Amino acid sequence: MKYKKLLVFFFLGIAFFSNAQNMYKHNFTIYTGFANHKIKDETISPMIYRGTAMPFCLELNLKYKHYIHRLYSSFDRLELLSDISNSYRDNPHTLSNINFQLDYSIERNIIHTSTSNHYFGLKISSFVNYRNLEITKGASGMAMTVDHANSLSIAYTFTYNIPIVFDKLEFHLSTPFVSYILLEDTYNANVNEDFYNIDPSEGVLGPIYKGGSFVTINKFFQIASNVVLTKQLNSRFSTKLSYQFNYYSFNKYENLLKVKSLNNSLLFGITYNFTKNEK
Amino acid sequence: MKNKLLLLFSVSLFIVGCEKLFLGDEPGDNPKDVFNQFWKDFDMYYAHFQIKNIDWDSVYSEYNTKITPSSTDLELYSVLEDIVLSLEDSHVNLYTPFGYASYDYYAGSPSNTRINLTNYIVPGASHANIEIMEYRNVQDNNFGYLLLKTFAGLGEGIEFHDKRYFYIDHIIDEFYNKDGIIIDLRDNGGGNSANAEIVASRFFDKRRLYYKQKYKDGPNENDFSDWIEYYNEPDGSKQYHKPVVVLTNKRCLSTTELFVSAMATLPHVTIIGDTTGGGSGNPVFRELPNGWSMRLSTSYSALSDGFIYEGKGIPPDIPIWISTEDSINGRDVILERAIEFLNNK
Repeated sequence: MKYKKLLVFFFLGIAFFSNAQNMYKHNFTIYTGFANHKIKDETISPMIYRGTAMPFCLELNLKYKHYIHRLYSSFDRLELLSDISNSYRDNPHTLSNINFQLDYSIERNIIHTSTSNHYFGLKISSFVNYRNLEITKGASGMAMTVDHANSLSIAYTFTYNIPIVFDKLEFHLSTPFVSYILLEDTYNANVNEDFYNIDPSEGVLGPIYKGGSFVTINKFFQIASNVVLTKQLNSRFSTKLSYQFNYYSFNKYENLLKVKSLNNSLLFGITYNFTKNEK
Repeated sequence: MKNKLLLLFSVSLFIVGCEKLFLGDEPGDNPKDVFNQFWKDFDMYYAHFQIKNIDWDSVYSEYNTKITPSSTDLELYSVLEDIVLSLEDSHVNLYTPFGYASYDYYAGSPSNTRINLTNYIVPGASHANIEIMEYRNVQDNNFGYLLLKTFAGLGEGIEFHDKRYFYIDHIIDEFYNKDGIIIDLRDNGGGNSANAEIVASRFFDKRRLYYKQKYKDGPNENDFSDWIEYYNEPDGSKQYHKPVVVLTNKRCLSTTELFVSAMATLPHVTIIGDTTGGGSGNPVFRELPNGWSMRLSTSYSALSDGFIYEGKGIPPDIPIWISTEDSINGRDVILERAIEFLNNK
């Protein structure tokens, strides 16, 4: 039985790598750098919380003649602070923040010239932004909230060959037109009037997912852009300098309790090209 | 190199510049700004103006002139404390370096608390979860005595409930052959509603509506959700359906009142003692720009029959108070009445 499984994996591998030979270009990049997060979450505070983290990001690009498949994930964990300086009984007023993002996009080359390409397509993305604000000492003084959305976005990519300092410039832009949004609460009036009461005995994740709703851009707005400069080092490796911008906003209730998140990242990446690139 | 520096400079400018554009302004931290933010937060999020007939605009008019940007922090505290106390809401609190402002919801009421428990209860051994609940036998009777000290305690990770409350299953096992159980909630100030649901479910016979809640869901005073209904149902390996008496006093508040409302729906349960504290606010913590913190109520609740108990409390089926004379004589007449009630069943 073991051998049969191995054979299946072997032939699948052969098939994959055979196909890989025909791929136009694809590569894998590991990024890190600085991610500056700013959050104004009126559900817990009127203040803006700010902080910088060192994110860890992975990107897989599969480039065919007409299509690009892109798989991207990032993770960071940090503590955010506001302008509040006065403390009471050493109250920290510290916001613990965890961010996770996973995107997959497929885009088709619509306009092609000798130096540039324009791609349009769709992106499926999922993010979690967990926050826990320690207002007063002890567990009862914690204010916890989680933003989570799974979105289907319109995606646009522009690439331009620039033989000065860098070799290539890429610009990515996406904005969701429909999202399945989840909120850490028992009442999600911002998306509809439905109510979901979480039964602890049934676990938490299942009911939370059941309690989400599909919303459009008027209820959940997000825009993500990314400018990438690529410098080829040799036929296999290149470096990337990436500036990412990500902003989203929604209201917890209708016209009440706004949540706004702004993330600017400056990342440095090392790319491995699966197929040899000509320098 | 010049191009790179220009790029980095542009990026930095963009990062700094777009904060105000995307996130908006922040309130200042001088006393006037803090007062305004305090008033605005209540104006937007506080859920009890209507049911308590409070004119929040007139509160602003009354206190606004007392605070200026150059007021001292102590003057600011004095004003905010006055406002907090005037709301008469046990779930509204202000945390400052000058103190903790909170409405004393049981002030002036008799304590109606436990007196000389050992006169009525057989002393028993300690157990692992004794800080949240104790169980003993009632002297000279085949009744169990369950003292629920608190419903506090959070779940681990993403769980809502504190696992220690599943100890109730062991207690139900121990008490299963008793002729009745006395559940003493007196002085239990609340905690986590998920814990209360666990304990109550061991007494349920079927799925029942036990309370309803309205959330403040808009910026206007009358912006509320529809009634949201909460149910509980039998859970655990065994449920106890023989006579149960629940003892309450004025200090029973918040989650403890949810427990009372759950038990009050059951035909085999009788509530004895004093009216509960009357706090159903589902409070949230918020912070003020100067670092002070506060809690405010964002909802109000009603029993399954529609009675809104915020500020009023849940009345017992059999009201009884411990008089000063009883207290001096060391008599817990509430517990005595509970034993008598069960004996007459």
